[in-house]
Amino acid sequence: MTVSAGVLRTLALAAAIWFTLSFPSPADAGHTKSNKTCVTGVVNCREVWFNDTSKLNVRLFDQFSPTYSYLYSPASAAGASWNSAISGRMYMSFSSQSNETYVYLKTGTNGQYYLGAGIYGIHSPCTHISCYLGSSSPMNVWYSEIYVNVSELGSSSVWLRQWTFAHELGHALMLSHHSSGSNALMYDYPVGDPSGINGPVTLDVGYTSPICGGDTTTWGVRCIYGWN
Amino acid sequence: MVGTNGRWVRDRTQLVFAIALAVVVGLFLARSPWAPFRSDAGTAATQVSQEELLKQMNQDPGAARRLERVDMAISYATPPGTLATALAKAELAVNGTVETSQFQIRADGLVYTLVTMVVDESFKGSVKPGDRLTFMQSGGPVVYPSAHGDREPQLLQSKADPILLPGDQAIVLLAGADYTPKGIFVPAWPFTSQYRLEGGRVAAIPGNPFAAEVSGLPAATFAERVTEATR
Repeated sequence: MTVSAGVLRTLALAAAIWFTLSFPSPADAGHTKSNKTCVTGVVNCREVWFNDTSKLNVRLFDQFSPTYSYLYSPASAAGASWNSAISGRMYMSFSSQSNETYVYLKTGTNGQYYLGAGIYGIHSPCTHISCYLGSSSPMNVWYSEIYVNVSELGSSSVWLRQWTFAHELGHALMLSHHSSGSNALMYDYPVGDPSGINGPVTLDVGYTSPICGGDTTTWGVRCIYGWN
Repeated sequence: MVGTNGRWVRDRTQLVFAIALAVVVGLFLARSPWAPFRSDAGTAATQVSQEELLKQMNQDPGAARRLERVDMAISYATPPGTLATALAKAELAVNGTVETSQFQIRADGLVYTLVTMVVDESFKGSVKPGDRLTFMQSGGPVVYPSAHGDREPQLLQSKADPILLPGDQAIVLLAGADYTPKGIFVPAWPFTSQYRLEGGRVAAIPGNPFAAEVSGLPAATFAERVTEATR
């Protein structure tokens, strides 16, 4: 029995297709993702992030001043809280950085952007196709928009404004809610105004070792991005 | 596989070449940014448009039960710690059955669900059994990126106020809002304004600070507590 070159070429094509479909994308290679704090099935969180050793530079844009300039200080403090929590791996700044990804900080009022009474802020991840307001699904994010509700935060404490920005920046890093840990920034709502947690803690930062998502101590952004 | 030794050698060479080609092509495609199978939601074809999805779901709102529910990435206010506090802000507190869930898309693209409920029992407010009231819930059927790396229909909702569908029975705490059409209510608080009645028992929303106290209670017992708390 002989095998013709045509059959071999067909086999080669089939093998190529199979190989292609089974090969993980660069961002996914080597990661075990969690279905807990990490967004389900995250593959590629940010376009400018490539692998475990890639630093994530997040450029924040103030699009609320001068009308709501009182938001600048808590927004800046929220970014700084993430910087100190994940030193060396990620940096959020209002200044330009190399190889940066963008987060636009905007405002809304009750009735806009799913904001309403009892809603402080919402995250909208955007791909090159569209923005998906409120989505917590995995996608290859080009930039993000965060809308904070000035109807609610206009008369709130500075602590609460910082919590809102820090929490939404957690969503921008592709964290979902940490519903089982009320002592986490990514818990559903703030706890302890004005002296509770309003920046990332261990539960939000997480670990990658031994595996991502093995127990409550291994969830967080390190889980998503593979930062040791 | 082979007819002669020479043919075997030639075929084997072709096979090795084919495998090598497969590896090269596979590597190239896998690392290419335009590879169609990459888990970039933006590159996958949409199965149905947003408008078409809402049209389909409004024709058969019960079909929304089959959609995967996805919670919004939102920061909520701290909910009240007691049922009495939650009721204090509510203008209406009723036990009712959902008659219709109408999904709407606004000019700004936001999807909302207008729930019309037939009142079975009223605890607070100027409604009586048999009345109909309508309230607005954030979200509804959307065509968003999914966990599968595609764009698929799903039920986007606020975790603090899960979408109610026709036939659902619940005790709801509602309030008026200056950002909704006249006569359209909204939940009074996140997390503490909806108590589904499933199999005659209360199911509070996870995240409700006093969920442990009320979840699992018989509906009649919870109704008594609501009545007491409104006094």
